Amino acid sequence: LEPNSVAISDVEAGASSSVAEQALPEVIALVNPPRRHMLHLGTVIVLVVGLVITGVLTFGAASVHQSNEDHLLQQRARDVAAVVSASAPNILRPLASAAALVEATSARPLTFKQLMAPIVGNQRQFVSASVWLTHAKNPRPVVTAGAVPELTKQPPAKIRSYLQEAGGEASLYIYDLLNEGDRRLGYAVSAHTRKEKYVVYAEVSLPKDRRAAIDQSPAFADLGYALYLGTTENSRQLVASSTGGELLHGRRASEIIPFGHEKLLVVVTPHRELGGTLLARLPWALGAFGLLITLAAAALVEGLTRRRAQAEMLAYENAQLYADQRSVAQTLQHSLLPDAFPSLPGVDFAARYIAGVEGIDIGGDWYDVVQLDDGRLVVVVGDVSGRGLHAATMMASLRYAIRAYAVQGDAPSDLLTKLSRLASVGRDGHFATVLCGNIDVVERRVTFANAGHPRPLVITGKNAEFVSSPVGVPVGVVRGAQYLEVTASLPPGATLLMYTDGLIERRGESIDTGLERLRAAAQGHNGSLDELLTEIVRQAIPQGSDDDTAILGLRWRS
Amino acid sequence: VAKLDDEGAKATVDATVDASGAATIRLAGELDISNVPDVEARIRPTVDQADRRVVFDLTGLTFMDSSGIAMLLRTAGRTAALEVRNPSDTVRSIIDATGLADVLHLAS
Repeated sequence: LEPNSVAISDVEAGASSSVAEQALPEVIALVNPPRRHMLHLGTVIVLVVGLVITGVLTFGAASVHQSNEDHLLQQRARDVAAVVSASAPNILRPLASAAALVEATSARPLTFKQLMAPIVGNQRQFVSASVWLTHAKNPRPVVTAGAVPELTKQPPAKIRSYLQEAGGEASLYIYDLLNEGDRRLGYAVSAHTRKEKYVVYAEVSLPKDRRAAIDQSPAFADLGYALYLGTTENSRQLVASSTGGELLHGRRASEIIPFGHEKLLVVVTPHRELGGTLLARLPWALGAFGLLITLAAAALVEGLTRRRAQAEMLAYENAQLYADQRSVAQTLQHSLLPDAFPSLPGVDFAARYIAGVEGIDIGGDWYDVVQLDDGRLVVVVGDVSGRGLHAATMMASLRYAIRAYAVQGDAPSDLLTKLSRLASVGRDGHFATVLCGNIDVVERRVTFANAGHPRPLVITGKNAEFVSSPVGVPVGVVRGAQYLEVTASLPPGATLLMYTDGLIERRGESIDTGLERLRAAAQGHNGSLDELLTEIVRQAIPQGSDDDTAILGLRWRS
Repeated sequence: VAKLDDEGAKATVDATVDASGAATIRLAGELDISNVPDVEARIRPTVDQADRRVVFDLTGLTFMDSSGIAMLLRTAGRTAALEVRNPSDTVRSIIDATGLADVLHLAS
């Protein structure tokens, strides 16, 4: 015969662990280890998105500004080119007049000098004006007004070649004397008579420091410029600039201007933002504003995330504490219940204790089996009202008092009467319902006395019936209360179920409904006693009960 | 009328003492272990003030567990006479099942 104690402790262990497992997974789901020193993912996302948007906006505004500035500068370069172009006729016109005079007078010196006198000399338009024969072997000016032309200092071959080219050219012809001692530009126009081919030649002196303003007009005050002879930025070809040198830095725009037979290159650079300061500052403003907004949003998200993490941590700790206290209460509860049943041939025992789903207090339900010397069994299920340590203490004292009275051989009714003298609801604040049965294992009969407790259920074959025992007042209500007894037979194979009200009590429904549900669940079950108890619990309290529930089952083996 | 709104059950309490010194305590809602301490504290002055019987009118009380019954029994211990009236079927079945109908002077 296998000892029943093993089965019972397994049942209890199973019940207790299943409760713990129900409580813990929700708790563990809350666990999100708090990261205290790192930024949270949400914050990083907000930061990244904010910075990207800020970057795109800033870059976009800067690009618009850039292209606007480029466009405006190009416009200004065209303006400067127009001013420079406009100066070409000022040079061409007096030379053309002189050429007409030379053609008419065959280069008569006095007339030429008289014509050129107002425009040649120091601080005048030309420093020197002269007339040359294009095909002289030894090129010398036929007549000269003003200073000696720099051209005379050039090698004769070079002069000849220049004069021939200038003589064949219809428009203004330019000679580059930029890198000579006295920086000059030479201009030539051809003048043909029937006998001779002449060239009227004049030189303009350029400032030694190569500095010059484009125009006195304040319209160009915001620009730097450089003017080159030719189409490239060659410093040897620099005619003049606002700085006296090349324009090496900053935003630039250039235009090429036709000038006589040559071309001029004008390069401009802005001294300040041409499109105004507002547009120039917009990218910076957008960047700073975006950065501020991003940082503020990130700080807000981080703050909220941390607060939530703290709340989750607190909730987790509370849940943990709750689970711990519940676990302590359950451990205490189980220590107050029998951990083994008597080992008796032909009798199976099983029991359940299911803690109420609410609260962490220890309950006051209990069950017990006492084996007497004469072979009889005293079975007890009781329920102290309320919960908590006080209720549990009362439960323990009642349980051990019953054991003592039982061993003395008291009948159930006497036992309950004695018990009613021990407890007092007025004094202790609690009362107890107790169902006490005395089982004659030989005659297979059970005699019950009931102090306010739900009636026991006897299952015989396919039939389940409550034992209609008279119900007396609970223990602790009336001192020395009297109880009636009822005897029921337990034929071979019969099962006796005793339980507390947690199994049958539901809010909003009569106890009779709960009793009927229990009877229906027990009736016609074919499994072992242990399986029967599992099935009853499953059907009667599928979501658990508010109250604690104790069940004690006993079955004769047939 | 005090609304006792604990985390668990909710109950309303209306306790009065008439000129003759008899107290009437009307309980409605639900009464269980979660709100019994509050309800009991609320009715205590009325119970102590009553020098004749105390009547519990349970019209509107839909549920009462053994903690509620214990409260009624404790109150009975402090008064000259206690009477319970108008329990719902559910509450009646709970009182009957515990064999306390007579102790609580519950009219059948």
